[in-house]
Amino acid sequence: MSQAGTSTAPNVFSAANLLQVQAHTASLFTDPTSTPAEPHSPFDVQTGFRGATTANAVLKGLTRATSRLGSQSRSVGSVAGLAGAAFALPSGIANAVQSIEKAMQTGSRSDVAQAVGNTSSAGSLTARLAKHSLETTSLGSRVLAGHLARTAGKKAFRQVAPAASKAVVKAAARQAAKEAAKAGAVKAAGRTVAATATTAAKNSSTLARGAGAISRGAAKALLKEGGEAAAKAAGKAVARGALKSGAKAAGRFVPGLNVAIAGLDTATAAATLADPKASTGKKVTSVITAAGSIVAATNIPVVSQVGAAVSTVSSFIGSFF
Amino acid sequence: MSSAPRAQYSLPRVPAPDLDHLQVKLIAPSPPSAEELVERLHQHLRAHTPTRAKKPGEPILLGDEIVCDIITVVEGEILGRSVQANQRFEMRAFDHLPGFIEMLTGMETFSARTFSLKLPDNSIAPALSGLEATFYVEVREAVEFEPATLDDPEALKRSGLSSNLEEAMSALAEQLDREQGDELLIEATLIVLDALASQVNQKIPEAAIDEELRRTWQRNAACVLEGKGFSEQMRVAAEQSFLSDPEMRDQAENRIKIGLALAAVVEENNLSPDADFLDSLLLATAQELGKDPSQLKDALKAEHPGLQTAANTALYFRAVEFVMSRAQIEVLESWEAEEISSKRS
Repeated sequence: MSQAGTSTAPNVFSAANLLQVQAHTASLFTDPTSTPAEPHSPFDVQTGFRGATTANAVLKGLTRATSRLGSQSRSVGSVAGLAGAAFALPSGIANAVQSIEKAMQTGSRSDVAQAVGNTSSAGSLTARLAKHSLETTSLGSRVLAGHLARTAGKKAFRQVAPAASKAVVKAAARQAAKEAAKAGAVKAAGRTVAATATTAAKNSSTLARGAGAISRGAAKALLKEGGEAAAKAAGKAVARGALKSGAKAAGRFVPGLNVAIAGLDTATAAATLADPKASTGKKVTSVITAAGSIVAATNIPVVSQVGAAVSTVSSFIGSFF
Repeated sequence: MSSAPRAQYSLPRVPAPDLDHLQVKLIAPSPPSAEELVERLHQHLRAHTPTRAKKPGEPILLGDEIVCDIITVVEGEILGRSVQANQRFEMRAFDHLPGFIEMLTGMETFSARTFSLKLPDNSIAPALSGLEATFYVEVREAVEFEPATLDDPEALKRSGLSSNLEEAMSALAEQLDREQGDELLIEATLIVLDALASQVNQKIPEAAIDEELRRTWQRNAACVLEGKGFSEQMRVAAEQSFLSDPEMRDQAENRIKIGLALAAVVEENNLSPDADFLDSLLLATAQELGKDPSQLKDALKAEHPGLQTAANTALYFRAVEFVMSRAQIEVLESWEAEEISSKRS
């Protein structure tokens, strides 16, 4: 195991680069449409592919790069205090960046490209799971592959179980047994539960507030019943999913080894919501993006660019806002 | 900031999918296990435990919660999908990544470190099993928690649970059950959309998949790497590795297929954006932020791609809802699925 030290090392940027950076930064500062730099928040969640927001992201990146010059004068205070200081950078960052860049220069890239090419059909998680022994059942491979792939992400994130006393473990085991029995009983409850759930789903304001989240059994019955109530309820569930923050969103990604695009977007939304420096507009946009991403919406506006949809969308913008 | 010149592409038009025979099966999440209940109790108590933000330079220890930026390099390549800012987790070993937490223990708050670990065979990324991964970890914040045991009546009470363990467990089971309801609805939606994608037989241009992934990259990882001052060359290489990741390409292609099928649904049925959905999402977000929904609308107006994203998403959800209302969905319990499977084999 190699490990970088934590002393402050010489800057990884050349002077020429820095001059360029500063000139660029200055020009961005004079652009009234750009937002102020946020050194504590190096990522810009709503960076468009081109245009002003990209410039903002670049500005942030460059500002941090230039601020490395000041890293030796880093004063010790609270993290919150440091976040507000333009020249705050974590200690050891230069060494750590150098070490990771070195790691990128070792190892044979062409070998890796070869390996990736070889695994593109057989090596991907979905493909492997599709070959799962259950493939031949009437369920169809897609269902199981999808299910397994999605639960795999959660399982992988699982941390070592917290220490619990015997009493806690016993209480949990008893409750778990009860839950399992209840799940079996849902089958019998059938229509009555469905009717209740439908009423609950229609009461959209309750659902939007999160208080009326649907229980497992009711959701099952609702899906069985199908139709608009199920469709609406699913939409609300996605909205709640996009707003989940912290530990709950964490279940969707694995540190250092992410598994899904949706996981990237929900984690970014959670981070943006928690970021005191992100603007309200950014926060809302990140939640909307995450909501779309949870149900596989593309970044390319595929859906909204067909035929009449283009004008429908623009007139919607006019009326809704 | 981007790599190769962008290739032109045009997306194929697809016929409106057959919604009359859209039948899917899915497996319901299993009722919470004892292990999950204990885990939830742990999380719940932590959320209500007094904490202290650590000062820069203070060592981080097991049990702290940290916020960090992580970049992973395997075989000389940045693992594109690994790059993320502000990951938040408890300093407690990860089952899938032995050694990771150990390497962070003792690091200074507000510092960065690079270290290497061999990825285990049971890794979530099977193609990387057994390889050495180098992790760049920048710890931006660390929070210390007052120590407490899981059956401390005082802690239980403070967290809003009953100090009676049985009652507390049952309340947590209810919480998990509600979340599983949401999980099931989302899972059902994804499976229905997958079924829709499987009706699309047209070839998706590689350039479109590139573009889809490039936009995801720009939104998430690119800014993180820029923020760290990585060279242009490194950033381009990292973007390239993200774009050539087979797992990511699979996901992107599937997303585009879903989009094309939904676009056909929108066109055939003259669907317009779902204002109700957007309203409820804004309302829920407003409550989370302690603001008024109208303030959020104003904030969106000021945000460059905000309005367009909102309107596109509202249209997307209308289309999803339309399809969901027509789908026939069968939910199986995991044991039912196993029964079917064992009968077959």
